[in-house]
Amino acid sequence: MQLKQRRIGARLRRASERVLEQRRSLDVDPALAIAGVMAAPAAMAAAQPGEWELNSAILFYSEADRVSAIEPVFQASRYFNNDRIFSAKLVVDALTGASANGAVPSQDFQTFTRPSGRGSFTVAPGEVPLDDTFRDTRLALSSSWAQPLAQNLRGSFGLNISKEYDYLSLGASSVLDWDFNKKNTTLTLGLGYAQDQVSPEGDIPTALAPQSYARGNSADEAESNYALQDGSDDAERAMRDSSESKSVIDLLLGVTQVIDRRSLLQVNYSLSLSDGYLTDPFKVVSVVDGSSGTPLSQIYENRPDSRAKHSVFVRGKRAIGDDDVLDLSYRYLFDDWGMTSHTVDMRYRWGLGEWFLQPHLRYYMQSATDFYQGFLIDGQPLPAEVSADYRLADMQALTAGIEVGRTAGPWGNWRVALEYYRQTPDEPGGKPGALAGLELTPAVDAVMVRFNYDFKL
Amino acid sequence: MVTRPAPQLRRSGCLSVARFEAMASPCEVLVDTPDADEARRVGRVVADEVARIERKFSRYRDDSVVAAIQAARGAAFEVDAETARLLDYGQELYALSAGAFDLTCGVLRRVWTFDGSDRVASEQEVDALKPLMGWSKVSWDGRRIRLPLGMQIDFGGIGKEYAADRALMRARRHSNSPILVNLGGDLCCSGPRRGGAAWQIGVDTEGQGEAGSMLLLQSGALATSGDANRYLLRDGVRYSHVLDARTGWPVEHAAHAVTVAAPSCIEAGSLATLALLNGAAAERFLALERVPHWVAR
Repeated sequence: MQLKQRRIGARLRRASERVLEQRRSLDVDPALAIAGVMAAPAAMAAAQPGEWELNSAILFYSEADRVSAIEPVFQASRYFNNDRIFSAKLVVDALTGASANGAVPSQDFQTFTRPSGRGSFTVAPGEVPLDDTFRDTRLALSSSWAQPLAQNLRGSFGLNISKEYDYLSLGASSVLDWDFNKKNTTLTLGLGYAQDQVSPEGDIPTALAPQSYARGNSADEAESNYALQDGSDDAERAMRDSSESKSVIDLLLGVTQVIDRRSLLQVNYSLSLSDGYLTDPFKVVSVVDGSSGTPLSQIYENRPDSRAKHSVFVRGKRAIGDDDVLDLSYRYLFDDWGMTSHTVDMRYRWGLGEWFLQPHLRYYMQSATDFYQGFLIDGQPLPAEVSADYRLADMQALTAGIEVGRTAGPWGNWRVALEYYRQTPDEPGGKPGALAGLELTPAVDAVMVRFNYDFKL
Repeated sequence: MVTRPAPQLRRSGCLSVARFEAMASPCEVLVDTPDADEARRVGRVVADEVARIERKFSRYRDDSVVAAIQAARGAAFEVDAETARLLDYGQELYALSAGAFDLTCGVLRRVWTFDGSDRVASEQEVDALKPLMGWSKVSWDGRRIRLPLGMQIDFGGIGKEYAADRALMRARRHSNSPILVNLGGDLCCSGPRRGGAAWQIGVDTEGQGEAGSMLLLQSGALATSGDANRYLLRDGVRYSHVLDARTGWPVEHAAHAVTVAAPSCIEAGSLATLALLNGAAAERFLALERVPHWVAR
């Protein structure tokens, strides 16, 4: 029998409902379920007990001239009787390259030290200083256990640990899903707690203290470990404790509503409360001369020691035709640092028989935090909190990508995504003297390639 | 009037099982309740509904709708609403399978008997029946059917699954307890068992009464199609009982058994049948439809 390559599922479902005189059931369209939706498809046999489901992915991320990352992900889930699922996930993040450290470019050579005082780098005039000794590997391990707690009530409990060379994060989380209204409505309650500790090599820098600082006429000279050899007072004064910690509490309240067989709406409110050391020990702020714009010194940044982030997320999914799914979402975020952001995300899953193609567009814009300043003017009073981290500046970002995958066939279930990302922070205003002609926050361009492969054992 | 024996009730723990024979198959109703009377009542309702559907659509009875359509001898015959829905459904399957599934191909049984022997039909025998087959020769306007003389309508391909869904629907009006209806392997349930546990279903792809693997069903239905005990074997070639209506011959490289999960039993059964009709491409077909499935070859 030569069946068409198009799926017949939706037509057969409608025919079955007619013959059984069922009102259009609110079971979600199979296409929606496949496109990875929150509401579980009604009436599906679960994966079989004793079966392992394995998901693997590898991601390559590269910013032009800056950070690049390779991130392999491996997840294994085992199914037990009565819908109980154990899963464990391992993520390795290998980062290399340079990241902007907040300092302004200059007409002269500059050099900086890392928080350690060991290892330094030089900057060509007019270039934004990047910390290219930046190299780190992150290892994250998480596990979760999910099971029904009562009829229509599911619970999952998770533990996670994430370790970097100078960073340790331990966390626990729990999510409850309650289905009602014939499983057409799902209420989700999530709670998470994490305790993070940062212990940078060479201790935590004192907030707003001058970074040990060397000036040289040649790159060679600048690269010598000036600060250490010199044992300058500045370098000693600038360092404080060996580690700092923070705690994060996350709360999520969500509703997922099946609107009709072919559409779903999800609304989430989440609150994230951070408390403790929220400063980035690797970032500095340049102090520049008010008339010439020449950088005179760099001080370590300082951020408030608490942050309350609120976000509202709305997402709609709709099945179109037999095999297509439109996925639209919007997120509004605001916090007590004075930042607000808007994210609009659109994906269209275009089903082509056993293949699919999914274009993706995302637009993001944020307003700067109250304490963001591109630089400080020498002689003016020092603010209690300041950061020149461009990630806290006014900015826009655009992501455009496409994913292609095959859901059946000899190679199983795989997909490849290619995404281009462009981040354009706004330039700080009021740049004095020579700074006026320099770009402090150049756009960041990045390319990402991700490959996923899923299989069962 | 034929009297049927009352369903046999057996209890184990909180689960009562009512057993009966219908549609030439062993049937059972599982009711998750401590109340034996309730289980007996539910078993009765299911057995009655299955018997009603069997009587109405049987090709062996003179008083069935199928017999009445044939008795019109080529004239238009107006059918009741339930029959109309089933004819519509059959027509849809005919379209979705590009003619491989056909309500009129029951006449092929005259030359094909899948009894494990080597009696493979001859080309002449099959060709002689072709004028008596083909939904395209039937005129159906949603209310009246005109079936050319000598042709037959056969709901065999969907009747049992339809009966399982219907019987469960009726049973649910009489009981709030979790219920599972199993008509000879085509089964559907009202939802999870008490406490949210899944129903544990053994899969007997060989038809030996022995379950191989176990499936868990939380809601919806499972249907299995296959040729466990129904095939022909000649010169080392196994002829599956799955007939392609367009050729009148068994589908080549058909799977031994296909089990599919879907929200309703009729949908699960149709997907399983269409998968078998796809021959060697059954797995591909099911993967493409993205339904939970198990294929035995």
